Amino acid sequence: MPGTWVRSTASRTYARLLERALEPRPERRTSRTARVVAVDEATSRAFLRRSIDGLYDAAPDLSCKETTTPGQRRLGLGLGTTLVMLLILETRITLMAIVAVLTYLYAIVVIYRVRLFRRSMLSNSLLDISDEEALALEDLPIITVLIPAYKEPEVIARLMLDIGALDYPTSRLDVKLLIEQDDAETLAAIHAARPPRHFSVVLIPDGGPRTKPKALNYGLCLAAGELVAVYDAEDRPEPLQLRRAVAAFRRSTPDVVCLQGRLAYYNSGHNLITKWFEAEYLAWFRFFLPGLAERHVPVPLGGTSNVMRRKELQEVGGWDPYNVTEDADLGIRFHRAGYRTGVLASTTLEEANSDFVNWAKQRSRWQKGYLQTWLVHMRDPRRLWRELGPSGFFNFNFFVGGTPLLALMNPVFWALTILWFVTESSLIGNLFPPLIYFPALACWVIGNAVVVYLGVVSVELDGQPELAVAALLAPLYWVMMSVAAYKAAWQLVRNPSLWEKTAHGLTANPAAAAPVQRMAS
Amino acid sequence: MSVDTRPLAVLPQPDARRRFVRAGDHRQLLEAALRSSRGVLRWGRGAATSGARNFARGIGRRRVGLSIFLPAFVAYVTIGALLSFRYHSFAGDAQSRLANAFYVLYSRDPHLAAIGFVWNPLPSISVMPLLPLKAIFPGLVTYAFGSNVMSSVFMAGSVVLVHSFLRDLRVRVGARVAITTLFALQPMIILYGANGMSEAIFLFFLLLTTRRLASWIDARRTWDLVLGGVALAFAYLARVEAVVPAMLAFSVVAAVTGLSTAGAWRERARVAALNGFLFAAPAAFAFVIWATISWIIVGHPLEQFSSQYGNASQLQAEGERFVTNRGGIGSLRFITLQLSALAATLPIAFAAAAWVSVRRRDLRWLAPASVFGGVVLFTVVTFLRGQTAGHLRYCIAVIPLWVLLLGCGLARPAGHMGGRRWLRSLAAICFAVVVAAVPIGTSALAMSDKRVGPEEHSHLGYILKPGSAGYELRFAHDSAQGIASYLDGIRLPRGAVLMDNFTPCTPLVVLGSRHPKQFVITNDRDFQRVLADPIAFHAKYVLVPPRGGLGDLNEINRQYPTMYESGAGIAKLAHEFSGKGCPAFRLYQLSGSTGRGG
Repeated sequence: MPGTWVRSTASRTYARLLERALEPRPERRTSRTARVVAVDEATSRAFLRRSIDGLYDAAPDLSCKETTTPGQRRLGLGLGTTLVMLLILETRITLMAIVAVLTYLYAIVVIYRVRLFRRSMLSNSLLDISDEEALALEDLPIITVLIPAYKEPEVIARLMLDIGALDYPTSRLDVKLLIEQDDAETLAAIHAARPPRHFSVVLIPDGGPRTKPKALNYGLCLAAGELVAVYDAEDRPEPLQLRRAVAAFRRSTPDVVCLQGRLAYYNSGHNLITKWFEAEYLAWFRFFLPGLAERHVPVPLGGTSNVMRRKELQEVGGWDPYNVTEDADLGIRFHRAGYRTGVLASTTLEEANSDFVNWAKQRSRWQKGYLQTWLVHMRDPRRLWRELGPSGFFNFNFFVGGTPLLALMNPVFWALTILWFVTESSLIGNLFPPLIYFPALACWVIGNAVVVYLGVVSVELDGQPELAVAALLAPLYWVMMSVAAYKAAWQLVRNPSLWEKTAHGLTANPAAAAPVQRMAS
Repeated sequence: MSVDTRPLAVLPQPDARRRFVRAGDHRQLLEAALRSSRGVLRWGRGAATSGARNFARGIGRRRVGLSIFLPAFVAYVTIGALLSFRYHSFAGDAQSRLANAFYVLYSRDPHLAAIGFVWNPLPSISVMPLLPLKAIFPGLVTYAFGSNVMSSVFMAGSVVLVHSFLRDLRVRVGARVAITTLFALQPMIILYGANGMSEAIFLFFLLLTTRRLASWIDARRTWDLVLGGVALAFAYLARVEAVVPAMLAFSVVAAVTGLSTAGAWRERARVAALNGFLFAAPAAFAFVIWATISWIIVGHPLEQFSSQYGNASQLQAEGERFVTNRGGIGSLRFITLQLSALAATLPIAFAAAAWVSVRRRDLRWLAPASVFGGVVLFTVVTFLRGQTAGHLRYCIAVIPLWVLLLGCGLARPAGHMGGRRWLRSLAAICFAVVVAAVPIGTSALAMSDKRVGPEEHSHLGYILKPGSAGYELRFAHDSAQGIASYLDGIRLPRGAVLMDNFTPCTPLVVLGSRHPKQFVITNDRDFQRVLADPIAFHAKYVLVPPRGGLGDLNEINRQYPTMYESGAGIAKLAHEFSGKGCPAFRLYQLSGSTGRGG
């Protein structure tokens, strides 16, 4: 069975530490404040080390602590030099070869996406659990809910409501708010909100990269539940989500160790950016991820609304604190270890970025993270191929490597296309022979149209016609994406682990108190 | 709080959600499917999943499809071969489409734009894969037989689609077979399946559109809408007439959605517009892209309407040969006559469809009505406005119209199991045979009537009645081949012969020549420059048809009006071709050139 490739985590030291941390202690909670999990100095240090370097110590080749290995750097440098030399010596032929290869790849990506989309459209590949089934469950397992928050006191009150609305027995629920030690304002807000008894606060000690995955790892050290769920502070999970997840786990084969809930936005109608964002998420979570899950290939997770089996999560090494899209990376690692991810038909509403600068920060972090993830897992392509199989390998490259790469390539192709129209083909015609240029142009124009069209189709299928105009204007969104991708590529070189925090609470939300309904899917 | 130490709640349940067949299962399923199609296998308890049943059904359907396709294809292509090789009866447009594909690959200036912009490109594109086979079978090119193969494929495909459509409607098997067979035997369907024209490919994609649209009306699966829209885009790329059905079908989609959606009218309008968009967008995209490419390359977005070779000018030049609208009631009678010849029993089929539609609230008849009705509407309106000639083939869409409406009239509701099934079945067959057989006779009459079906008459007339009006056309191929051989015999270098390949017979000259690169043709990018100063560009000969009729559209005659008569002062007559079945071409040798190429 899987798991032998990351050093087993059930070591004796860890068990002892965990036992000590969970020892009953004198109650420190007063009626006015939240319960703070008390961890003594030595344990805290051990947990911190585990959270930061646990994965690196166990499997350095899977950690993003070093973005590239010396071998990768040498290879990259070698390829780069060769390419530049070829460009100088044989400009025309090299350019032609590049365009031909890219066209070929692009055609494959588009055809592949259409096929994936078609399959998700024709068969519902989401794990769909009915309300009755979810409510009838007995013998519920303990679930630890990890909610990292950093300097966002404004969302705490709302969080209490939304997480409190989860329909799950509080005696089986262990909600841990993960707060940085020096984040006094958020802590104060939590105290002020007077959370119920099944909520507790974990103070993350200072040290190492200050990232969400580090906080999650630290929380995981203290997690006792059989299942671990992850939410962001501003999330609004559908109330039956955890029950549905438990039912879905019971229904699936044991190799399904992680369930990804569907993500959507509650403020999607705010402006064009949020509409684009919503349309994009819709296609991603409703069609692409279920399609991937059904094909038993790696699913890049979506960061929140994941429910995982704790044992397997620890076995694969938890989150990578140096990777800025720890979620995607974890999804890949699950699959490399022989596990699977399912997509749950239950929606969590998030806040969409309504501001361009803020959006660009978030998006460039994602693009950077995807590039990081791609680089890490491609360190040993042969091993990856062995572990994921040809189909998994192919999908990993397309979805994790391909997403930022496509965003980087986009402007180049747009420029070439516009140039062809503006110069009435003469300039480009001199540079490229028609046998290369015309297929490239056709592929590009038709491919773009197909992708826009599929976006509109997905909006219709999901019953959200109000997003149709945004879906049609998607090419403008791609321009934004490319800006973010170039920023990401630059940052990957300059500052690989920098986590640009996304500001929340930009949308004042009048419907805030409305309970979250389960969205039809 | 305690650490949960219970083992993971893992139940050894079979994975009920597995929908897809694993690789190893295929063989087993295939065998099961084959058994089931022989009616032997019973789907016992646990014998197979529903996935396997679908898989088996898929194979069964493919077998049925193939068993319709193959005989139809063989029949059409055989008739096509007889027409081409034995009777030398060619459809000029079919040659031109194949020739355009040929220019793209094998002319002096091979380039994609050589496909031409006057006619939509799909018919030419679809024969392109056949052209390299000329090495094995030269007749594919020299006799333009590739286009016959292409049209046979698509017409046989159309027959399969008619059958699938009837099966979707749950028409009883006897009636279904009768209608499909009688559709395949309609004389117009046989002729246009065999003769290489673009009607077959156009009908094929329209049928595909109709079938998907009807499925969508029935089940509202968005995927059907998407596929229907894509098929419509292909139909547009085959023939420009698809514009009207696109608009009508768009309205149908929007109206059906709007009427069946709940909510405020604003909401309904939004959903309706969105669904309409999904359906029409691929065709609109095809339209825009084709127009843009045309605009960039030849400077005008809609060549078919503006070009000197387009509909309007062709009509003007050929006015005497074809029936055109001369105003008044006569034209209306003429087009009605044509339509009723091809669809004598349309009213009965329509009445049956309407009756079923009202009784069962089944709106699927709107699909054929909007798609094929749209093409018929286009034909009638453009003819009455004098924009197109009154070709019988422009009315061909009325045949699938009544065939599919007849199917709608015989549709059965799902799960219907009436008593006395054999009696109902027999009644359905009789009805279908009566309705579908009558137009065979009337179409045959129309096609053999010089006034109603002039093109068809000239095609078939001399085969059936030697010595009749079109008899001369029989020699067109030999004449063109004679010109090609004569020129081949002079052994000319590249680009030595200037000609306008839009004139009848000229495509056959290029196709028939062993050195197609010796010609400078209209599709070449430097044609205009060479035309303006042929000698400077080392052209040695000019091949020119007499003036009058289509000859007036010839670029050389337009540039040098006296060329045919006297050589326009720059050339002297080298040869005059007898031109049986072709214009009486003259070959002029340009002065200053040495004649024999070096």
